[in-house]
Amino acid sequence: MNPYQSEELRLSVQADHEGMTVRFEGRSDRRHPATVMQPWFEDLVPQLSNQRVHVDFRSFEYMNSSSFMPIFQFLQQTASTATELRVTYDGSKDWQRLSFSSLSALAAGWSNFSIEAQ
Amino acid sequence: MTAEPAKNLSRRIEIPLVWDSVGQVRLEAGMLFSAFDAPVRDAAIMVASELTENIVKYGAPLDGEAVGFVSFEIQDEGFSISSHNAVENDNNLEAVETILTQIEASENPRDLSLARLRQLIEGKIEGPSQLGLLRVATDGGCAINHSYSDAVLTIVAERKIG
Repeated sequence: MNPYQSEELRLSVQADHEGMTVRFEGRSDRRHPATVMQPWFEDLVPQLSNQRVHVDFRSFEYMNSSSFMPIFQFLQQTASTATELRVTYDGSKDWQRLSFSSLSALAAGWSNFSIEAQ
Repeated sequence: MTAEPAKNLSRRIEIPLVWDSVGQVRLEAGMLFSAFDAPVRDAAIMVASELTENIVKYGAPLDGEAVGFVSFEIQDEGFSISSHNAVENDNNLEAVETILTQIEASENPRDLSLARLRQLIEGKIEGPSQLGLLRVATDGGCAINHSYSDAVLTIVAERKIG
């Protein structure tokens, strides 16, 4: 699947022997981030079904509050069909630590979900 | 718009009601807070950015001009960042004042934020998510106050340092 690429944001997916890795790089600060993310997610989510999925936010530099819901919904949809969903973020970045602590709380009931700072 | 790295300064920036203003304010805030450590600088940039997004999304022309304002008060021991804008309609004003009052009264804004997120996920909220203002209080570590006078909404986000 082709990556989504704009001046400020890159979303990509890569398959390897451990499963599928989805990477968020750059920043998401559009007024309506869902309009660019959701079409890409809609194509991607079916491919993640029955897969071990790693979503890597470590190179994500910034997201505005409008980005939280589309990203959360993507993770929620992925968790519902993937065999395993693992999220990693950069614990040395305060904004990531704080944002992903909220995600961790919201995802507390997802049995196949794990999140870790690296 | 120009900025210089310094502590102990005041700055007021005009915000045209266009989306590009958000990026401009992020750059300005980065310069203004460049003398601070990354956690404080990043928090200040986020706070300025979210407040500016609110101005652009919900602001109305002020005295006939399509602008709002963001003010910075920076000292060694803390900072405040304020937004000032006219409001487009009464519904927007009511919605923003409701969430601001809840934040101001909350002993734990993170619980409030999580409750709001759960409501959004369950589709129980129509209209603006207001996550930006909650983020100012939670991730930004800011105390929030607001006022509405002469058709201008002012939101003040204050954070102590150290």
